[in-house]
Amino acid sequence: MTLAGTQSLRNQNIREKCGLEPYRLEAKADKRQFYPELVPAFVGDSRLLKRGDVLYPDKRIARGFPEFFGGELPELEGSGRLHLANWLTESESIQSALLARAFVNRAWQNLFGEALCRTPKELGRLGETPEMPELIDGLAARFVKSGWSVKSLIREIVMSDAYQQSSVMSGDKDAQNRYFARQNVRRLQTEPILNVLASIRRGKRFVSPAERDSELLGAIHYAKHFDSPTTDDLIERRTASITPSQALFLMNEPTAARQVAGDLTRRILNQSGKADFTEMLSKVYQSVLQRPPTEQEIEFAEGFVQRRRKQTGAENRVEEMKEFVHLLLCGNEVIYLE
Amino acid sequence: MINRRQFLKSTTASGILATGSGWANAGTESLLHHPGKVKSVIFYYCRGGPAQGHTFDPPKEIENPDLHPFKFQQCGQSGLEISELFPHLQKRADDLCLIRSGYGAKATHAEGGVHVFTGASSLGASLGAWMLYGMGSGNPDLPGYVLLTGRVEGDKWALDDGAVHGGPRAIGAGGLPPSLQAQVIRDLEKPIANLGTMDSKEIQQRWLKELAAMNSEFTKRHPNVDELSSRIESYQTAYRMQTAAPEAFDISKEVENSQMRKRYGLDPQPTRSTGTKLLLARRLVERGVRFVLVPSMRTPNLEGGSVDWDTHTATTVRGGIPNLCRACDHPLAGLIEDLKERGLYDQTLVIWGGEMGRGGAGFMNHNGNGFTWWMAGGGVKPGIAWGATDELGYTAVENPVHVRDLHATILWMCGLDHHKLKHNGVGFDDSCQVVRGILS
Repeated sequence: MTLAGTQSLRNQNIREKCGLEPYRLEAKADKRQFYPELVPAFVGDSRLLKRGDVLYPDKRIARGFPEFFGGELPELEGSGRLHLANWLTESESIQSALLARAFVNRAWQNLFGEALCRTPKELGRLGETPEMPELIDGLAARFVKSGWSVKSLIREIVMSDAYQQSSVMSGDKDAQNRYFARQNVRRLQTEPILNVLASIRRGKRFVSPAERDSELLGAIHYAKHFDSPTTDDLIERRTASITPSQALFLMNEPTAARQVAGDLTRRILNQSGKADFTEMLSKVYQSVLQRPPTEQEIEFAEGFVQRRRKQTGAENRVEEMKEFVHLLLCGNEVIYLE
Repeated sequence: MINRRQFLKSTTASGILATGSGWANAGTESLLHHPGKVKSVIFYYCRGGPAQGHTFDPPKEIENPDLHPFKFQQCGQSGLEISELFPHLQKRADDLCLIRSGYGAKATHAEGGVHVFTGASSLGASLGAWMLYGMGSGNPDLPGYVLLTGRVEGDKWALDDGAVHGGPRAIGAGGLPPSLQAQVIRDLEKPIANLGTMDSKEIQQRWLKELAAMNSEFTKRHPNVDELSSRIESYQTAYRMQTAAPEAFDISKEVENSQMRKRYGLDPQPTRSTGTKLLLARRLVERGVRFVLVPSMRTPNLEGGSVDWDTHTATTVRGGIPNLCRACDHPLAGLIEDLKERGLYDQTLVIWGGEMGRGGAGFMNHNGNGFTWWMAGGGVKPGIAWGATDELGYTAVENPVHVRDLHATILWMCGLDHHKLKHNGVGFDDSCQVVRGILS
């Protein structure tokens, strides 16, 4: 028997054992249309799998909601997803209060880098006590009142005074910034880093991640070096590690920062022709950091060129500029938010 | 007892950490709770769940003689019974601490692999990551936790590069900082990416100086943000790694030595790759790497086909197990000898084990209720067999040791107390127990 044959026989056995209807696999032309009859018949109660093995299904376990929330438990039919949504957002219920709090806490975390309650997975006794529970409750109450509108929640947060604070610390109080009197300095996540480098390399924005990644030769390595979570894990918060392998990647990998620096330099040289150094420098700063260089920075760049010439004993406008751009790309301002 | 802050101050002053924040921000500070004997672990992982009944735990009663073609001998002063398939390890019997009463493993491969390496805490962090988190890096110029896979040139025997069941999750950092995950070495010739540079040392040094100067404005604005200074240091570490890592991974000098070739079995086909990886593991722990994981490779089956330690049938038992044992027996014995000669034995723990045992329903089936690991080196009592399985060798009955207990015990040997070892308030399962009986 062929391998595929064995496989299908095995699947058949499982279905027979479980008393499950097989999937109806008829292809429908229009995939955008929803066909209820194509939903597998066995969306519903699951079976206990002995030792987690699909080959040993045991008794059916009825679906339900955690009883400790109390209240009426609705009858479930179909997939049950609508019932779950209704139950979760039932007004004046404990579960909806928890959901709203957890949601605003995570929205805050996505915007500030840190959540109001620092353990977003655990808002209860097992988690940390938030410094400002009133803030979470206020946001949550308005979130529910607005009809669970994520847009108005985000608008409220980004329009707040707290969001518009500078990240520079004044005084020495609250070093950990538990009260959000200032913004957090934080590293960008993988995707924004990719966005930044790809758009610097090509001088334009990209409409899709796929298009962006095709512009950066080493795109798959960025995920590895800059803490992209894998699809295997559920995480409540992304980490921003700092590792020497990151540094090696930016310093030495020819298809990463070095290539981006080379391409940007070439483009600027092509555009500006015989423009002087300061003019080119301001174009570089505009492309990489979206701002003109300060007096100090111009001075530093000129010093950089002088020191390079002294060491190599040669003058090379292209190489000098390329090395300076590479330096800028490895600096903090490119991948840190202030 | 010194606390973490005092410890940091003292070590920084004495220069151990003064060179920089090392491999990563986390995992460079030591949180030791008591002085531990073990500084590094070399783990030979038998992929597929090795049968205890064919290796280190002879069953008292045999149901099916076809499945048990191998004999056991009492070895050394200690009289430990070890299978005839391990002639070299038999001679090392008085060094081994056999743990015959392992239980609490999961009887499926992928889940079992994740569980056996990460099962002790709800953070899903692997043992190596916890060790690195607790002990700090032993060498800031090298990764602290390494998975060695790959085959050496000229190996025409092994059929794959070796891997851990459960994939990245089994060797990941889970909820610990991601920099603590294992550095996977896939290519023994070119172990770490991007070490090669086009620039000379002088040019790089100037460039790094310029980088620090350029970042200084940004850093000055945020003096309280530690990440910024550690990022600059990470470039310095990377710079040092460019010289340190090739040196650590370069075994060319050692393999010229005929004594070393003989010790690790670098010439015979079956032991060539495993021997090289264990030699490399020894070089790494010598340089302060905390955890080196060497997974077994697929080997030819004497009766046709190929096998890993997932030996279900009489054919795979007869034809597969001898080769699987051959691959690791000589190199592991050589490793123990080499560690002793270099004075590393007392601070290194060598572990042999898989993600589960075998036996129970279906004789050679997956079995989470009984498995054998052995340990050798610093921290464990040599020449003992801890615990026992039932008559048929299927279930741990005497002094059972849970997978979680193994984690707690290994960490204890390293100087870490699982009750106190926590990250953001999350630590080990309450049921973990240190197996005091095997501690030296």
